[in-house]
Amino acid sequence: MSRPLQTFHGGIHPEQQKGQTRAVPLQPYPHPGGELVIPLNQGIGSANRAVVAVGDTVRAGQRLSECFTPLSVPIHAPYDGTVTAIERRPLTHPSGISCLSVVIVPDDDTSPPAPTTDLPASTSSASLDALLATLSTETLIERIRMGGIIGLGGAGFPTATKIRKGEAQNIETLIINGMECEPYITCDDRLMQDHSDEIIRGIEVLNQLLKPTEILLGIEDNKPEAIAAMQRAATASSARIEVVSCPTCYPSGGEKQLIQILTGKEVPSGGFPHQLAILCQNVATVYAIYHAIEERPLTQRSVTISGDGVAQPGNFHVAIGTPIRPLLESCGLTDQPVSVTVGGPMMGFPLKNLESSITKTVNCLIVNKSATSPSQNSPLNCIRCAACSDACPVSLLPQQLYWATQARNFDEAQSLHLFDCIECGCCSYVCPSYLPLVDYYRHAKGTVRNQQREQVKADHARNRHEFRDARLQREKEEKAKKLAAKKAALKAKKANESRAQHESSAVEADKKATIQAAIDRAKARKAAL
Amino acid sequence: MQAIPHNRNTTSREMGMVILALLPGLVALSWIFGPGVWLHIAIMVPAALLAESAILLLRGRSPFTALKDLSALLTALLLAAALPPLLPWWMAVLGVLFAIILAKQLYGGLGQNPFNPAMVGYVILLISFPLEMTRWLPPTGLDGTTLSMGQSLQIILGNSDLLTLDALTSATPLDTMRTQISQGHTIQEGLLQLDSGLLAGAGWEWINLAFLAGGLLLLLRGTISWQIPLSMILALTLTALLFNIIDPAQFNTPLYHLLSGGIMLGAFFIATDPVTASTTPLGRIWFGAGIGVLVYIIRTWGGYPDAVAFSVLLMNMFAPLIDYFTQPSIYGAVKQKPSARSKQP
Repeated sequence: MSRPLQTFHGGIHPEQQKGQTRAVPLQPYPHPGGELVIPLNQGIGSANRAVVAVGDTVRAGQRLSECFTPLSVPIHAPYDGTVTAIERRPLTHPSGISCLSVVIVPDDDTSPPAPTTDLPASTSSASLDALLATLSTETLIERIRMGGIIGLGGAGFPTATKIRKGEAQNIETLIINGMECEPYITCDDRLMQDHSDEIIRGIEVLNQLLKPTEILLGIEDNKPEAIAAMQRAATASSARIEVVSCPTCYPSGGEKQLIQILTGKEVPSGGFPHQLAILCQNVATVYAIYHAIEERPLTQRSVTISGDGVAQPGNFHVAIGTPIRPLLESCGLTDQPVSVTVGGPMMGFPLKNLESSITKTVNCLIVNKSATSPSQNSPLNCIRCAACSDACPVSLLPQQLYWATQARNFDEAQSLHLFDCIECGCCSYVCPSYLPLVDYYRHAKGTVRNQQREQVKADHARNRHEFRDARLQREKEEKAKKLAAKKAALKAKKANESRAQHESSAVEADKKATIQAAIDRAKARKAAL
Repeated sequence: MQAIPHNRNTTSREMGMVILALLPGLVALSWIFGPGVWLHIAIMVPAALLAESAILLLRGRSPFTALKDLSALLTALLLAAALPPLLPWWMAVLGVLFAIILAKQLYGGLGQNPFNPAMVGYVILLISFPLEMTRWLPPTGLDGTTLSMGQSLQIILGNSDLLTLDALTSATPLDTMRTQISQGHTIQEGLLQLDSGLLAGAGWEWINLAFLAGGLLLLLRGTISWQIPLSMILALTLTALLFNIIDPAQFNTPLYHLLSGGIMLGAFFIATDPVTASTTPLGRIWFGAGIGVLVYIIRTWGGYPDAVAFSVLLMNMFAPLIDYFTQPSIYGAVKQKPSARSKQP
């Protein structure tokens, strides 16, 4: 607790809105029946291929897919049940895109609690120690990968890949992120209070894999109960874990910001934390790592359901694949129209389709009775008041970026460090002209990426064209050469022929002369007679 | 699009705060120089709002949303605070029309103008009507003999002959001092020609202190940041101090410079206009310092007695350049070539 903390530039203090759910303990969400829709593509890796077929019966925890790239991880069945379809279903994604999904109907009366909720923490400690003592590093990492673990804080980066990168870099500082700085969300807070031992077990796994010199668990000081619970659990652990209470200030839970707060170091622009010998993991991910090591794959996650549009808000262990509508209805979804935000209010996105389902990266659903009316706060002109640059945790100049992006001058936007923007939304929060600045930057990033892709394509096409031209030229030359050779050959042949003719005519003449001589001789003989 | 939460601060509120903070200075102006400034405000504010609405209608925009931001009102008030108290009404209106139409709306309205609208209006008037624009009143408020509301109205509406006007008015202390020095007198001799006040020109020190009070309120509320006022005041002080030390007979004291003319109005209300000022923290220091030095140069060697307007406009031109060279170092900044940066995903 006495650790000297650094601060990051800017930051904001939005209304917490956590009171609605922070006192509600995490509880398993009983599946109400009906289908579970588990998208094959979650997180950032490329899509998996299903290894089950329609009609197959599956057991809880069974692997449903295989994956081919290091960045993708498999998915698993949360319950015993039957595969009823493998088809495209709407994905919980900002674009509302659909994605190939495995649809499972759980067995009638099973609803066994999902695999990770009913574990007595006391017994598990011993077995984990035994596992850590016997299993090789490679096996441990493979269990994390095959357990389907990705970063549950929101980014969805495959955890095994991150650990492998960290292992290669000799991590010195392992940072566990329990900041949960977004308003409304309390599921990490509850997880730290209700499952502190399992989180510590997960940290022990990482400790064994990475052997860091220090382990820091950062928690915002608006969660005193979680800090106390984690401190209690940490003292019982063999790993030396320092629980650090950090001042509440959004976006302190951003990976780069947390690193700056705890270590004073800055991740190089365009680089990764492991370049500083630092590795960050979210508490929910660490919790899932522990269960994966004990061969309970990621089939559920903690989700906060909050907002004034639900009568019974709370925190739940929700099976991956649970459709959102019945989930919200069981929390007392009030009358339409509602707006549902996936994730926190600062960095989340509006849900396009209530029929889509909970994925591994959905940590919060905020249900509001009505969409905030945009007419009330229609954007005005930027007056360059610099409230945005004062609030920016990256020290960007959002007011200048705004001009550049509005003018579609993307070169200038990039020289103003467009790609260092972490899209935290602080600038939009403070803008007195109500400009949706982050949206402009996201759009600009997308446009630049597209342009770069187009550029790569164009370069490729030009290279191919140039190669084709060169090839045609070469072929032409070769043809001409061949033709010339042919011509020369023909000429030589002709010359040969004419010579042959000449020779043959000489032979003919000889013959004629011989015949003539014979005739002459015969004539002379006749005359002599 | 996600409706991100908001701290509920608005442009209108910021502008409203600036307007509120102007009041002490306006009260001081009318106390020292009579009610002329309020009469100007009464004429100029409707003119500004009408001009803004008319142009917005021509541009096919709703005038209401733009008027709500209070920026036109603020421009009118700032210009009124800078005008001599007995300036004829039509000149005041002309000034505010130039400010709103030429300097602001023709560039595209709020946020698009490169030059401070109020100062553009002021400078156009100063160049067009140099006599009227330098005809100030003696600080009669100090001995309780200001013009009445009726007299002021008569003069502003043009119903008085020039003789009485000349008898009533006088040059500002800055103007008098300039003339004295240009005639070869020393500062000390010049001061004898003036109703010398406690600290600077009589009356003007109180006006400047009142604007300073309003400015400090803005600083405390966080409406403006400290860089521009502080660097402007500091640069003016240091420059004045340097020359005052070199030759006290020729160059006046820093305190005299700080508390005369429009320094405090300029430092806290004019130069801090975010639209036309530099926008980076370091850039604002250069911007303010530039104004401070230019004010001294123009006051001392230039052709006009006061220089805040010219200095602000000159520095407005430099704002984009300053911003370009004073970008803050970002989180995780690494020295990289621009070409390498653009390869980033």
